[in-house]
Amino acid sequence: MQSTTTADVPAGRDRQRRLRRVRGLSAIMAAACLTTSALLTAAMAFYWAATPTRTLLSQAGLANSPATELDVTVRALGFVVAMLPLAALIYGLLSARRCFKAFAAGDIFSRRTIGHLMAFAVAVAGSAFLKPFTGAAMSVLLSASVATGTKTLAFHIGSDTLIALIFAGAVAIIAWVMTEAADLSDENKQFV
Amino acid sequence: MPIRVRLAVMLAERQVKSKDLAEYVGITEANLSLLKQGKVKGVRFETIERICEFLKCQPGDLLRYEQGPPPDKEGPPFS
Repeated sequence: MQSTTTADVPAGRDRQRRLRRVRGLSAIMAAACLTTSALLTAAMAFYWAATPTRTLLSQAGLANSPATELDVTVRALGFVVAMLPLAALIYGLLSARRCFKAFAAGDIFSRRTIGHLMAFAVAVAGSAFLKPFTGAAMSVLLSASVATGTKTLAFHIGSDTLIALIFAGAVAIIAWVMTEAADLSDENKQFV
Repeated sequence: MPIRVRLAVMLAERQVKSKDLAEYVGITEANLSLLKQGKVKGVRFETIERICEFLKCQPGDLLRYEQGPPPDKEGPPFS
C-alpha cells in the first residue's frame, strides 16, 4: 500500500490548498455581497433624488414625453417601484453572503449552506421576473405624472433579463448538485 | 447486515487497549467504538492496514460473514 500512501500526500496537499482558496475567495465574496447590497440601495436612492427628469423619462421608455418636472412624491413612488426587483436581488445577495460566510468557515456541504445558495438563485430569478413588470408600472407612473391626459405603458424584456434567468437556473442546478454532494459527504463521514 | 466485526475479540485476545489502537490508527476512540460495534457504513483500506499492522493480523481476522435471515425477497445468487 506504499504507492497509495505516497500518492495521497500530494492529493491531500492539493485539497488543502483548494480549500484555502475556497475559504479566502468566499470571505472576499461575502464582503462584496454586503457592500454591493448597500451600494445598490444607496445608488438607487441617489438616482431617484438627483437624476434630471428628462433622463428618468428617457430611461423609462418615455423619451418623447413633455419634460414636466417630477415632484418629490412621484420620485419617491418611482424609487419604491424600482426597489421591488432590487429588493429581491438584495435578498439574494444577502443569502449569497450567508452561503459564502459558511464556505469561508469551512462549512461547505451542509443543507443550510445549500439552502442559502438556492435562495440566491430564486431571488435572482424573482428579480429578473419582476423587472419587466416594474418597468411597465414605472412607465405608467411617470407618464401619468408628466403627460397631459396621456398614459404610456412600456413593457421591455432585454437580454439582461434572459441572462439573469439562465444564471439563476444554473445556480439552482449547482445547488441541487451540491445536495447530492452533501449526501455523499454525509455517507463518507460514516466511514472510518 | 451479516458482516460481523471481530475487532473487540481481537483486542481482547491481544490484551490491547482501544485507546492505544485508536491512537496508532489515527482515528478517535468514538469512531473505533462504532467500528467495534459494526455501526459504520464502511472501513477504509488505510484503517484496516493500520489495524492489521498494530494487531499483527490479517483483514479476514477482523471481519466474519455470518448467514443471517434472507433479504426481503431474493435469496443469495449462489446456494
